[in-house]
Amino acid sequence: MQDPTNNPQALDLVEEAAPYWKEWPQLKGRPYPIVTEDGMAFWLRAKKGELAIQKCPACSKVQMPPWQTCRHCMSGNMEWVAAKGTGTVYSFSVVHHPPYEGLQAPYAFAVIELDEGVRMATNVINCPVGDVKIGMRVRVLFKPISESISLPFFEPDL
Amino acid sequence: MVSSVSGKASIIGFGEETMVKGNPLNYWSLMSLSSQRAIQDARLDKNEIDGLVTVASSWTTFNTAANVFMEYMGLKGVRHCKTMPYIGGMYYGAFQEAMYMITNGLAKNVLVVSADSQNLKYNRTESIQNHAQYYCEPQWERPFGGSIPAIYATIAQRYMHEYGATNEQFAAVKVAATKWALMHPLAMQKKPVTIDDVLNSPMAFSPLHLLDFSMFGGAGGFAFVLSSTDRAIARRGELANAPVRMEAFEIVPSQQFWVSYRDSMSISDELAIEVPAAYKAAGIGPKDVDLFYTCDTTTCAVLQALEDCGFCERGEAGSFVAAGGIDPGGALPTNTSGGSLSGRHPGGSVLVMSQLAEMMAQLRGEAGPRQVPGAEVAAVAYGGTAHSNQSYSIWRRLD
Repeated sequence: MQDPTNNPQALDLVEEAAPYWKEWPQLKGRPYPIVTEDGMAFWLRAKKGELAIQKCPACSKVQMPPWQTCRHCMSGNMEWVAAKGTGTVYSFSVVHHPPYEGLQAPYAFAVIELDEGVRMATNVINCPVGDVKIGMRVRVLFKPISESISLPFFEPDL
Repeated sequence: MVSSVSGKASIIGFGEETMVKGNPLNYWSLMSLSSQRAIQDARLDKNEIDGLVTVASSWTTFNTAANVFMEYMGLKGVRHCKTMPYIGGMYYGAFQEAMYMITNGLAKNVLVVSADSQNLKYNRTESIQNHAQYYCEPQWERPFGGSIPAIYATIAQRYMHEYGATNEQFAAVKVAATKWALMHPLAMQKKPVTIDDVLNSPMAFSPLHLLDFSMFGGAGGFAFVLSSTDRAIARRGELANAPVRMEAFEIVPSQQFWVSYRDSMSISDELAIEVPAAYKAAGIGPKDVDLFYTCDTTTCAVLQALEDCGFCERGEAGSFVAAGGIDPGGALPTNTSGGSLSGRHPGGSVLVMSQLAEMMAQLRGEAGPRQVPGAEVAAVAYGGTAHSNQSYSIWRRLD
């Protein structure tokens, strides 16, 4: 990354990118999730080792990523329920060019379809990246990356 | 687009400024040089431009604001202007916006202009980092090392799984793109490429090899002047070139490059709606299309677009391309400048504009050794990053 101060358009860049430049030091490690109001409940439960997903009390459908309202029927008051924590690999890519120094390549960036039907992005870990396949059964495994944040990774469910 | 406005607007002027090396001109300069050429090409005085649509560049939105640009250019006649956002490919809406201005009688001559120099400023690694930092979903995907190329690769992996596409078929897209690029003086790929070259290039984001991705580099400004088709025909005698009529322009908004939000990875939900609507509005079918331009930031994306747009049955685009279907002389000449796979990717917001520049060259019969004989109808399928905001448009040269 170029030093923005060496760039003739530095002022424009810095001004517009201010919220992002502040996070820049994090690029040395694994990036933290930028926790929103919608996601707060997920991360609080994740810290306790529970994989939570949103469920709509009005239409009973589940949704992830979370939102204040239901994407299916637009009712409010979304509820959080515990997912089983198991699912299958919907798709993945073995990444050889990590965007952050704190990520060790190669790693498997994956989209998991939980047994409840929603999908989420993650990494499949605890197996060689060459073993990751679409349709492979996986289960959640939380790993703390700070005092308040535990990330949901997935490992083979043998 | 509703059929009542189908075919009512036409491109009457075009100008570009492409840079391949050195310090990029800033957005203003690229926009003004290309606008100057487009306005001259349309045989208009600058003050006859009464509608203006600018498209934000990848790194700043303010820099390309339409009302600022019109002052900078001294466009005294502008009465309606709009700045399209960068993110997620909504910039393709610029043409739709111009069409609305024209068909509603708000403007007679609308200038559509955009510029970007992102890919002259940053090398490949920096560009990947930038994209991961800015455009990856920050709460649910970025912590896991998601990035734009990783998302494209995840889509490709699923497409292979569902339709049995192979890496050899992906490679055939790069080989075809290179055949076109070798006939373009500004293309980045200067040597022929074989299937084995692609397969032997380093695995970058599985299942995609390094040569399955576009070539970042360059900067460009692109400008188009549109007027009503009636006015274009009435002025045909004074125009430098045949007008190019917008037969249909369909956009279904979405922001699906965040993979965890996508319903399908192999099929574009947007194109499924747009493509039949566009063919109906234009009164043609896929067989009538002479030229096809589509987002080729990965080889796989081209195969998916060929299927989404009705040129191939599902799962058959790979064999179509491998048999030379999109080559020079093939059944459907595609991305005839080499696109971004072998030509150049001048930056997010102007990739499609650079493809439209090639479309203009082809439809005007100015494409030199790449010229597709008798090319009259072009189709353009483009979205933003990783298939978000897919749009479909059809264009026809008026003689």
